[in-house]
Amino acid sequence: MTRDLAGGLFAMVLGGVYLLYATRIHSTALDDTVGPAGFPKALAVIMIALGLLLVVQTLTAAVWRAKPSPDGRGDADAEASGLQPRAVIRAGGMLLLGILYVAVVPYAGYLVTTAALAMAVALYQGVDFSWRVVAVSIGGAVALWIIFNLLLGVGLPAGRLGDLL
Amino acid sequence: MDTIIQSAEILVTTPAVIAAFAGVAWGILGGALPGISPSITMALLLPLTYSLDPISAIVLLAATYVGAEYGGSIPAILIRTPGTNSAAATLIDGYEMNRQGKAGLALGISLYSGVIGSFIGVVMLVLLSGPLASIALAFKPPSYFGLGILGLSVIATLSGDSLVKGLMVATVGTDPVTGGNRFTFGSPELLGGIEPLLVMVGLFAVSELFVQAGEPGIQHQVKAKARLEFPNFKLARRLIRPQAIGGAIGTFEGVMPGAGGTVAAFMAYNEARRWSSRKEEFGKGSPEGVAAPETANNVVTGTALVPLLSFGIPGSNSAAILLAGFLIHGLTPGPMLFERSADVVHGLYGGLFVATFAQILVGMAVLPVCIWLVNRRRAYITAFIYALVFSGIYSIHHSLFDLALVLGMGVVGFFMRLLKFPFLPTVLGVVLGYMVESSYRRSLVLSGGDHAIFVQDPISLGLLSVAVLFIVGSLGKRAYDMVAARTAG
Repeated sequence: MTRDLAGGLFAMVLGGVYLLYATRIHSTALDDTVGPAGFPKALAVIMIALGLLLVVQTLTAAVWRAKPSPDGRGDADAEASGLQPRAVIRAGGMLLLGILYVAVVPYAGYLVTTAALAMAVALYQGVDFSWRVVAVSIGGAVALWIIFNLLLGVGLPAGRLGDLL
Repeated sequence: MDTIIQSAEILVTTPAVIAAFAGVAWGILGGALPGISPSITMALLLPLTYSLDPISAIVLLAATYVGAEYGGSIPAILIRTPGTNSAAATLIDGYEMNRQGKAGLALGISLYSGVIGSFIGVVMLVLLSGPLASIALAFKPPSYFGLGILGLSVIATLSGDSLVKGLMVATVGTDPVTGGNRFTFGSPELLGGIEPLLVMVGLFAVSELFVQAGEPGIQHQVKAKARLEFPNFKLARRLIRPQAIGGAIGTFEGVMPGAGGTVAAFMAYNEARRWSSRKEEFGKGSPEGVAAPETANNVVTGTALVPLLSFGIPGSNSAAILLAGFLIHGLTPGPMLFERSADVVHGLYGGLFVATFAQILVGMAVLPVCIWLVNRRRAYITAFIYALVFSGIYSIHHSLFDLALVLGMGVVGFFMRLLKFPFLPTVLGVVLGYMVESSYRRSLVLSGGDHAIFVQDPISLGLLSVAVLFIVGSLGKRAYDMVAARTAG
């Protein structure tokens, strides 16, 4: 029940915020009958309506199921698979590594940052530090650089470090 | 018969066969790398085609398209990262099969269905170029609106709010009619909108990395079967229906400029589920869920060339690159191409047939290496998927903003997975949102704001009617199931 209720409330909030920004879209002399804001406004209303429907449906179902079922099961089953703090924290760590990559790559360049990311993720996922991790990370970064830069001609960030060299 | 003989003659007198093999190999490599789309893979070869004869050049580009559309399924199955947009539908059941230790079989089904799809595509291209192109030309904005709504209807009843979220993402960027900015918040990076691939990679691949980071016992992964495995006779028989569905939808969608392999793959997936006797297996590692979208998007590699060859209309980015290949060699696709440069057209037909066989051989050579790679220690694989995703996404626009966007979508996907919200409606909303809105508004511009245009256009009326039937049927079935469940309870 909590999942549906949270989902419904989230949909209503999302629809409301989206509607707020949709009303701020400027109209121009080129506007058609619908206008640039027409479709987003319609989507926002649908989103709010669906969210409301989900909330009402969930609350109605909760009233109907007020009495505990004879076998003692029910929504607990569905909620058992919900958010686990440890999993969210671990995922947050992985996200942080990604954010650090995006922040550092313009300065340190693709090769160094990619090798560092690979090594950091491997260590974060439980590999013990050794020369093997270092070698695999550097080798992998070089392999990706060869594929993307040399083979496919994609210009990868050299970084300030690369510029100095 | 004349076409076959002339195509065969051209194949033995030009290096087109070598070009077909080289194109497929290059295409598989490009398609297998997230962020490198089929059109980019083809575009990278354009400078090389200057030095080739026209037939080999066109075959090289077309075979690259075939290889790239197939190659996208490899990372989708092995690392939950769609190499191309259309591979996102294959990912749903392909990756589940991988998790169950059936990566070899999933890749085998993908290759087998891809080859069948490519073959159907070439046959359709050769036989039906004329009639199918006429249908494509009859498509006006109201028809495209009907097509978009039909695409959305196949999944609308599954999770309406997730679908609307996808449609919301599709409204970011430049307005399709007036050119004004919407939801860009002053960011120039958002002016072009949010690429569907960024959403898919974020939702599917990055969220998977986040989930794996939080899973206990991550080192004890299920080992994928260490060799490529094709379906046995019994399974091959079972796959005939989804492949036929994929073939029909791929043919239909391919000839519509702008519709493309992604829509075809998702529609084929949903229709295969609808008509399957084992619906409950879909999403949990169904072989049919791999076969249908793979067949559909490979059919499109052939049928997408119909409007290009017949009318000179490039219906997709990849077709536009192929058009550039024609123009480089002084050839103008269109009705006169068949008269003035029939040898090139026949060479292309023959080259695509060769590319179908090349797909088998190159695929069989490449896939065991991929399976070996995915069986390495999980921590290293996670590390390199992260690095590969960033490298691939950066290569699209050379933008760090895209990396941040993908990380953001990964966070959204992570919570959607934890709360068990389906991705499919969101992805389909992103893919179809632009088409639905732009064709709806263009139709109203044409009609002066009169909505009757959608029922006056016969194609639109037909497509919208089928969409209504889908929705009513799904809602009716759901109501019936609820009543049946209550009665049983």
